[in-house]
Amino acid sequence: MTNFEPQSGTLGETAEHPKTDPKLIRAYRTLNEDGDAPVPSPTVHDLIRERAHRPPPGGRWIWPASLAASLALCTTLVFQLARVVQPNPPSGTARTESLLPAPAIDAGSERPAPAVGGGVDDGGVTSVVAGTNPSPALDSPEFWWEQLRLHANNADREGFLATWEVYQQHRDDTPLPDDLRRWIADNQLPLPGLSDG
Amino acid sequence: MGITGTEGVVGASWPVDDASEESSHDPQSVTGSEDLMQAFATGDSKAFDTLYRRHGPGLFRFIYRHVGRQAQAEEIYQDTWLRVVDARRRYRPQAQFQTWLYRIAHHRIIDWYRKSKSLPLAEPEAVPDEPQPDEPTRRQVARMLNRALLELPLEQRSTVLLHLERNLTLQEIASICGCGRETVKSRMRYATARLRKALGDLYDEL
Repeated sequence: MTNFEPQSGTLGETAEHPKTDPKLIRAYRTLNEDGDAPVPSPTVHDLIRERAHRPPPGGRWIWPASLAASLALCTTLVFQLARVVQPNPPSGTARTESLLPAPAIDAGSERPAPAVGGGVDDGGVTSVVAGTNPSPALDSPEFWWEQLRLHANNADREGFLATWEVYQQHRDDTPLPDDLRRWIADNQLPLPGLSDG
Repeated sequence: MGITGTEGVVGASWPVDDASEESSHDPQSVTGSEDLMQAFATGDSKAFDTLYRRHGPGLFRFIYRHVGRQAQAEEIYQDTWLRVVDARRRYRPQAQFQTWLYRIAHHRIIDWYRKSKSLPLAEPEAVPDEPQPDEPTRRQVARMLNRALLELPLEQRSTVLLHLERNLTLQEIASICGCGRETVKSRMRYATARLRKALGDLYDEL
């Protein structure tokens, strides 16, 4: 079924259109008449419609600005608070539980695991509370890299940026690992301090 | 222009008719489709419904007449529309929506033929019954035309179907098929000659 009327008897080709054969057009039109017009099944229609009406995956969903700002502020405050707490209190001095988040340091790391929540004797909280463990690794580049990797692995740009901001206050001259550099480049994050680390 | 049988097939929640289908002669409605696609890209899913109603029936006929099998036609048709949905944010109205849509469909059809090289071209479903002696001539011709279309080389079939179904311009067909205007002319010439030959004496009775 065509959307145009063939001009009877004209076979001329215009500048824009191919030569028209009215008989073929008529025959093609007949092919789609009288209930012979092919139509897709309702299932196909429904599937297409459902997809068209579904919000795009991972697309326009944007972090609300206030939520992102709040998260960044909370993260900063938590790390600032943890920094204020003396990392090596005098022996025997009790400390409250560290507020640091789970560090996820590699099992093979030589550095001691930083404090984590909970009361398990894992070399972290317990020993820090007891004053027998060194600093919770705030100055350890690996600690920060792992934090950054956690965000990177979750494709969490906001979290990454918030952690990066705090990391700047603790970082030394140790160059940033290649995987993190790549992730930053891939995600086009304009990060201050990247070039000098 | 309604399609016989369409209303009975499609549910009330998703009515399809091509009453508002646009042709390449109507620049205003072509612009309308581009606007609708842009509206859809910004989250207006009703705009997609209108686009689908407008272009769906013709697109399915084009695909079905190309591959000759209902199941494969549905697969390609669905894939084409889902690509439109997925590409909504990348859509830029640099070409007519219709040209873009049929280009996607054309590529999907080519892909399908590549994947199904081992399959016989025409299954029983694709080859209509032989014309019956008491059948009106025009029905016989239509059936023979269907068979002849399926026997055309792939690119000639695309070209002639785009012409018969949508009355597209040479440039539009060239853009969809990824070839030049002269190639389109040449394919049209060969395809038309083959179709006339296939229809034989019945062609003169039309």
